[in-house]
Amino acid sequence: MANFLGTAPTIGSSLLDSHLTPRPSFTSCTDPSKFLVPNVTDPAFYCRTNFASASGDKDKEQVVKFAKGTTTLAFKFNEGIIVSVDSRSTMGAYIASQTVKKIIEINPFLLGTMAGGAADCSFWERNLGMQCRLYELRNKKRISVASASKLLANTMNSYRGYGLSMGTMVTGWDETGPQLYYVDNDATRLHDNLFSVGSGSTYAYGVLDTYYRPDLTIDEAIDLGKRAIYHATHRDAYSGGINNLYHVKETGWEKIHAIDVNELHYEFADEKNEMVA
Amino acid sequence: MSILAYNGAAMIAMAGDGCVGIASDTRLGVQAQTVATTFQKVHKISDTIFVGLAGLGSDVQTLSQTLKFRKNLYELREEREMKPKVFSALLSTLLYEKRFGPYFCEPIVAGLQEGKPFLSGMDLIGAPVFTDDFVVSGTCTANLFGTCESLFKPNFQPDELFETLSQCLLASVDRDALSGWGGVVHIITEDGVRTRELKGRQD
Amino acid sequence: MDSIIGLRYNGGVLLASDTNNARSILVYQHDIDKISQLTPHSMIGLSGPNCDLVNFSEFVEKNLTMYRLKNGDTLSTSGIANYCRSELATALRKGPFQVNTLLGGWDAETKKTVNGVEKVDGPGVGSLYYIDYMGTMSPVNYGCQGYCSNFVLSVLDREWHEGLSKEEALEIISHCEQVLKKRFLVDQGVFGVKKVDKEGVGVVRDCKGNLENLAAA
Repeated sequence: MANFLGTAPTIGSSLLDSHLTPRPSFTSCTDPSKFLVPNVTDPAFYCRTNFASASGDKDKEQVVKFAKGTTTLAFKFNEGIIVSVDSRSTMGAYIASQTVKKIIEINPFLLGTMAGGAADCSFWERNLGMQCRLYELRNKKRISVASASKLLANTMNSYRGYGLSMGTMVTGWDETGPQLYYVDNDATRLHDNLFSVGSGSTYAYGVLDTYYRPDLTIDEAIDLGKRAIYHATHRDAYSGGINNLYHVKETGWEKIHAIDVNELHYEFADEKNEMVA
Repeated sequence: MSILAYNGAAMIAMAGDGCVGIASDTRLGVQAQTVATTFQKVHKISDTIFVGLAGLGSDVQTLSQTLKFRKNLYELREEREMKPKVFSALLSTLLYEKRFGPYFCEPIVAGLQEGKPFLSGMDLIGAPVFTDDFVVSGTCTANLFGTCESLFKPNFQPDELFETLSQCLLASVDRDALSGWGGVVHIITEDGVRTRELKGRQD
Repeated sequence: MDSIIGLRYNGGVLLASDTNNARSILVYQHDIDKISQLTPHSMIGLSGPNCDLVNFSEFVEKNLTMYRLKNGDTLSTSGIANYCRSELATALRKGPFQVNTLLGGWDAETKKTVNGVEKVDGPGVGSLYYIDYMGTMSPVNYGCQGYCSNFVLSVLDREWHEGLSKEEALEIISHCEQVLKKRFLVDQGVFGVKKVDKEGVGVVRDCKGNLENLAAA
């Protein structure tokens, strides 16, 4: 994948020979509304027909393809929130990386997850981090999860139709307690107790829905988050690698573990063998 | 997505000193979904001929059955054992017979002929290539070529051949989403065939 | 949008399927049986258009009957699976049967190779085969056909283990149904469940959702 250089359309100009004059990318990074767009009548149409679209293989017709394929999940329970993800990044059938950090630490009280385009997620969640920090400096208090997720949703809304690819969960602990939001590139913003996002999400939901209770203990919740990701990575070819798991508490988030899902496979297989014996 | 990549596969055949080996993964998938992890893609035709079939699962099974049948028929008619070179030619014609409605399968053949390794590979309509080092097929041929090019040396002993095949296969499938979930290696020598299963990554 | 779920348990196999007969956006019936008995000790769960579904199961069943009349013995489950596979593979290149199937059967032999491992089960052996419309066949311990596989394969992976009792197997199926009810867009309605074991094929829950007496079945 080509280097982003801060502005998406620079890919377009270099690859497609359109006549764009790239401006310094500093302003576009600090202010999403000043992002450089292709100099055509319908920039949204130009972007979505030449670059990637939402998910799956919908970008197969387009010139520029992006890395994607993921399982991420997060659920709220009585002791906070568990955020659990895999670490695989694929480009077609090729596994580009097995060690991607898909949980982005926005600040000590906010986490974001990555699904969809790797660049879109990491850029806009970093951007969200900046906006949240500015809010803190202006208002002398931490931003609520509701507001933070709304900022991201607003950004997504201003780029609707441009072919951004992002499915994220924004979680954290604020004055109202633990909060969990789902935000995607259509600017959908949902508030609930349990979400899973990505190509392996249906498998994760299977395990999660069967064993989820709000009164899980912390250990049980960690185990559930871990197992749901493992089962998704086993069945979904585009998920795998390492299970990264975070626990969001009143004092902020804490990283619980990073375990190779292959080790989990044999651990769970042994468990079953012991059950039979 | 290509029909050849619908179920996913990775396989290598490699020559050694008086021995030959063939290895494959064991995943049966339906695009991104893994359906089974014990699917056999390498088939024993005789004590000295093995064929690896990478491609559409249905055609893999149909072809392996047809090939075994045709080999048995040949041996009954001719009253002599089929040689790998003959088998490779049979496979090539069998594939070309379906030139305008092909089997979606790209096979590799590993055999021992008069104690010497025989290797061939072909495309889905039977264009053969004969090599004397290694031949690969499946959804991650780029990876397989990379690992084989770096690890292959001429005149491997059976144990070294097993080790090399295993390392090449496992390293390759770990960078391919559509193959893996375990593997199997067959080492063919004049004294017999040794088959071992590989514990591969399960994601 | 059909869902077929199957799993082996100690001494038998369970097959479950939804009971909707739907086409396009319309559901015609809510109580059709998609699991057909082929021989006294085998059954096949099918998903696909109703015509292919009926045609294929009747075709196989009649041919197996003919085989029995000719040879005085029924085919083993693996024999039936291979027969179904070859019919589907042959049909693939001349107007295919659009049916994805799970085949469950029970064989009296106490020793049998399942998934490449020799298993010795006390009360005979149940075996399950995954066969898709192209004729790709694989023996499995548990499997699914249809969109439901995306949701329930993980549940089966999580809960299935060797030596499962029939009650445990039914519990797993009910977990699968709950997940589908909650997460799958299309209402799957009532699931019909059948078993095959030493006593033959039997209904556990019929297409209207009536439970048969478990002890009797």
